[in-house]
Amino acid sequence: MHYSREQLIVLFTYLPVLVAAGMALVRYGKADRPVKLLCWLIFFALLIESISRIFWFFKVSNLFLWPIYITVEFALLTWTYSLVLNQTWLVTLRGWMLGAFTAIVLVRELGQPGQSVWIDNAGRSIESVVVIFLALAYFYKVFQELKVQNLLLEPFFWVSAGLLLFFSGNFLIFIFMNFILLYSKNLNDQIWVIHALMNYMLYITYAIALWVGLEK
Amino acid sequence: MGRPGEIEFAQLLFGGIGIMVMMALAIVIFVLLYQRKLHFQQSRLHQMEMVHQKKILESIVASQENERERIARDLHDEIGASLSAVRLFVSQIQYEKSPEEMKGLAARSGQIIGDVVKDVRQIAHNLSPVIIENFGFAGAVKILLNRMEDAGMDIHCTIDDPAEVLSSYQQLVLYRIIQEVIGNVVKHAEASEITFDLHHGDSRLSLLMSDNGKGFDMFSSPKSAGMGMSTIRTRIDLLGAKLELSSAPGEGTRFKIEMPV
Repeated sequence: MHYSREQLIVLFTYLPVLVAAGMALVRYGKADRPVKLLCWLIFFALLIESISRIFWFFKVSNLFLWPIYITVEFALLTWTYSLVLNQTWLVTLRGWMLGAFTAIVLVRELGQPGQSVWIDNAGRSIESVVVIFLALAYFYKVFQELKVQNLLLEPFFWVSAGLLLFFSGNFLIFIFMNFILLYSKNLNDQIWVIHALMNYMLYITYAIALWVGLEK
Repeated sequence: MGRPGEIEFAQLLFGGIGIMVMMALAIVIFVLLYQRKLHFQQSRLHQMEMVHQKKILESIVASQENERERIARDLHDEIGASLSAVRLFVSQIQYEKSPEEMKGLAARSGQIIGDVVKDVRQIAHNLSPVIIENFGFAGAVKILLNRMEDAGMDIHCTIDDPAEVLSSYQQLVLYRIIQEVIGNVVKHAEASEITFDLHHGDSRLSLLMSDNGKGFDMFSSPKSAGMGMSTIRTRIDLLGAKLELSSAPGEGTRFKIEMPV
C-alpha cells in the first residue's frame, strides 16, 4: 500500500498523541486536578485518534467523531482553565458555555444530514476563539500575580502556549475548510498537512507540560 | 492547484496562517521574556524593601538603646548626684550642734530636692508625649527652645502652629526630630544662636533649624551618619519628608525638612 508524503504526515499525528498519553500515564497518579483534566483530554484524544485511524484504514468516513471530539475537548479545556484561572465568573459560566456550545454543534450537525464530507467548522471556530481567550487570560494572570520565577517550568504556560499557537494557526483553516474542500483538492491536502503539523506541536507542548510538571 | 485565482487564494490563506502563528508566537515570547523581567524587578524591589525595613528596625532598636542610655545618664548625672549631695547634708545635720548650721544644711537640701523635682519633671517631659497634649505642638516646641534660652542661647523663633495640618502621630514624630536636633546642637555644636522657623501652607510644611556653631565636614565627619542622624532620618522617612542638611567647619549647621501635609 503506497502513501503520499502528505498522507504520512497526517497519519503520523498519532505519534505525538501517543507520547503525550505516555507522559500522562506516568504523571496522572500524582497530578493535581487541572493536570488530571489535561491527562483525560490526552487519553480521550488518543482514543479518538485510534478509532479514526481504524476507520481510515478501512476507508470508512470518520467525520462523525469530529463533533464528539470538539465538544469533549471544549468541555475539558473550559473546565481546566476555570480551575487554573480560579475566576468565579468562569466557574459560573462554564456549564452554560458548554450547554450553548453543545447546542450549536448539535444544531449544525443535525441541520446537514447526508453530507458525508461536510465538517462543522462553526463549532471549531467558536472553540478557537474561546480557547485563545482562555490562553490569553492565563498569560494575563501570570503578569498580574508575578508568582512564578521561571515560566518554562510551569505546565500551564506550555499548555497555553501550545493552545494559542494551535488555535491561532488553525483558525483560518477552520473558517475556510468546507470551502476549500470544494475549491481545490490539492489545497485541501495542504491545509490538512498544516493542521497535522500544528497537531504535532500541540501534543509536544502537552508532553513538555507534563514533563516539567513531573520535574517540579 | 494551478489556476491563477487558486494560487492567489492559497497565498492569501498561507500568508494569513503565517501571520496568525507569528502573532501567537510573538505573544508567547513576549510573555516569557517580559514576565521574567517583571519578576526580577519585583524580587529586587522586595529585597530593597526588606533591607529598608531592616534598617528601620535597627534604627528603632538603636534609638531605644540611645534613649535608655540618655535616661540612665540623666538619672546618674543629675538625679543621682543631687540625691548623693542631699544624703550628705542630711547625714551632716545629725552631727551639727548649731541650729543655724542645721537650718542652713536643711535649706540647701530643700533647694537640691527642689532641683531634683525639676529635673525629674524635665526628664518626664522629654520622655512622654504628654507635653504635646498639655501645651500643644507649638507650646511644647517653645518650652524646648525656652530651655535653650535659659541656658544662655540666643533663640530666633517663628512657629506657624501645624496642629491643623498634622495628625497627632506626625506631630509627635516631628517633635522628636526637633528634640534630637536641638540635643545635637547642645551636645556638639557649641552654638550661641539657634534659628527656628516652622511654617506651612495647604499642601507642604517646611521646618528650618540652623545654628552658628562649629559645624562639621559633611563628607568626612561621622556625625552626618551617626546614630542620632540615623534616628532622625528614620523619623523623616516615617513622615514622608525630605531632608536638606548643610554644614561646614566653622559655619554652623543648617537643617531643613520639607514634607507634604
